[in-house]
Amino acid sequence: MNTSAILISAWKHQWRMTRHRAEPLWARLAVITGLALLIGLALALVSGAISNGFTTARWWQISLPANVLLSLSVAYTFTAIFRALELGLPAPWVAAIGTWRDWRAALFYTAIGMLGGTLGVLLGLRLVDLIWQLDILRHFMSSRSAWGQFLAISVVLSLIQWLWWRVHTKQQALQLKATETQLKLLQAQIEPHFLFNTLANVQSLIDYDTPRAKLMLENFTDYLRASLQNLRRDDCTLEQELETVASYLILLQTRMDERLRYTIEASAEARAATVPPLLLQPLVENAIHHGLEPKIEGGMVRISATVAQGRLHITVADNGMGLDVQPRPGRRGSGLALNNIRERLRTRYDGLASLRLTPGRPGTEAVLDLPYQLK
Amino acid sequence: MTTALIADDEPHLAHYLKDQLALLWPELQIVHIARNGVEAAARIAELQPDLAFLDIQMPGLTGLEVAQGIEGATRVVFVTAYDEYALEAFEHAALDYVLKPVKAERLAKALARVKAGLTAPAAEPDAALAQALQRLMGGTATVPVLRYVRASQGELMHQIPVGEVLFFHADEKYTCVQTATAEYLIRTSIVELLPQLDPARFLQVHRATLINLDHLAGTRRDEASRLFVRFRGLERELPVSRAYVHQFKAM
Repeated sequence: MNTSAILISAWKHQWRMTRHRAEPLWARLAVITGLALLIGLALALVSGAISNGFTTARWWQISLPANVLLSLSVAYTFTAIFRALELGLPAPWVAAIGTWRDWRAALFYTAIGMLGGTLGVLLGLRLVDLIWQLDILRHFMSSRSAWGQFLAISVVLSLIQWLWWRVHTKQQALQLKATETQLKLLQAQIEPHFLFNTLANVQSLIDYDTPRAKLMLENFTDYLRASLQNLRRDDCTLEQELETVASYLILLQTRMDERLRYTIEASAEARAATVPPLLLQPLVENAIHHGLEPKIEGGMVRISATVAQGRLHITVADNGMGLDVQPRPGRRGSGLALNNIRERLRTRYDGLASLRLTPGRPGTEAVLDLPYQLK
Repeated sequence: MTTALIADDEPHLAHYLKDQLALLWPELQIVHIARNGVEAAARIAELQPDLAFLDIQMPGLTGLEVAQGIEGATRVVFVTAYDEYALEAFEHAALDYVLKPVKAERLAKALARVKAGLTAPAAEPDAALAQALQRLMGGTATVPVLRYVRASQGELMHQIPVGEVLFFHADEKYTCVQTATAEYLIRTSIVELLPQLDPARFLQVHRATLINLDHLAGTRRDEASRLFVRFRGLERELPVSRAYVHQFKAM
């Protein structure tokens, strides 16, 4: 990443609560300093315009530098409080706050803003007094009108911030919805090979193992229904997603016989989590298609889900062919599905979720790392 | 009696096809049901059935790869649930295939064609198979032509000019590079080598074999009418699979 990309990333992620920050400290400080300098300059210009003081030495020597210093003080205090909360609050809280997109976020950030603003102004005034041998802080503290002005400005700024926030998030939500729908549509496509092979198996079982044919048809129905429902839903619980996966695996087990074994392990806490639909399913399909189906002796798929420190971890591990094997002709590559999942995570969680693929011994392990959310 | 082998990794489908065949063609004897491509290739070579019903998507070797390695007279019927490109190629080359789920009526038609083919073989059935395989498996990407093969042997690396290579022959894990005087092992597969070699000089004669026509001495047909290629100054002969036999007609 080049410098400007790091700065842009730091700017974009500056206003959201997250414990782990990808950008280096200097980038975040540079962003916050730049913003403070701009605001300080603007305040100095306003005060200069009001008092018509551009021509006076006092404006150049005191008003301009003092305003900039005051802005820097507010900005650094705000950042320090923000970072202290990120590191000091329990991890699940930080994760939850990071995903807020509604009035809670507005209230929370306004409260920190007010706190940071007040402390920053008091600190900044003390510094101004020290540097220029003035007595503004005491004057400010004892003056009712000064406090009133400060409060009024704070409220107006908060209001502007809140309005901006609302418009921004609404727009973002619409955009995300469109992308999400498109990506989901791609993932909901049922592979024709899977469809016809499953039907062929039902056909082959009808005469000599009717109960099994029935069971297979039921599971196929469950799978199709869940896939169609998930297309229309924005959220589902992990429990629902695991049920779809289980129907799929039962179907595949009937087809592949002893060549496929699987386990699904998830805590009650994990099962209750809200997740985007059709996120897990493609990982399981990949494990089968690219991991186990091409392997002569078949193998095992292990699916597990746990909650730790406000994060939901979902693992799909297989002991199949592994990552280096070339895709076979006539098959959709696994990369397509993985890119699709990553894109969905990006639009929905904006950097707070990840999909990691590691080679197993043997096979492949895919881990989804998401913020733990409840409906 | 006509014999047949069925290869499908999904056991229910293999048994269903067997039952359907028993109904529609009672005289047909199923000699083996294979669960994967490697098993299918080995049993076809061993049992020499008249027919092989090959599923396309199988572990080990795909049905197409199995067909590419058949040396004897076994005639292939492909079985597939859905393979857009394969079906197009089969249609184009007028090859026999069956769709899953199997429809009795469609299967009967396909079998009638197969029966007719067994009694009165078409002029160039193998050429059609080779052409379809070429379409489905030959990479279309153009790769720079290979001039040297590099093979490591302990601490040494040998650079062999491609013109000196008599043939490339794939083992389970490695590809053997044979020159007039020595034999080397490389990790590059036949599939990867093929597009990098000059097609006017190197010819595929088997799933596992690419030969250099400049060093070809001739062919030999054995009592089971299988064809083998022979090289100048080398005793070892290599089998030619049926799909590629038509390339060696005498003038």
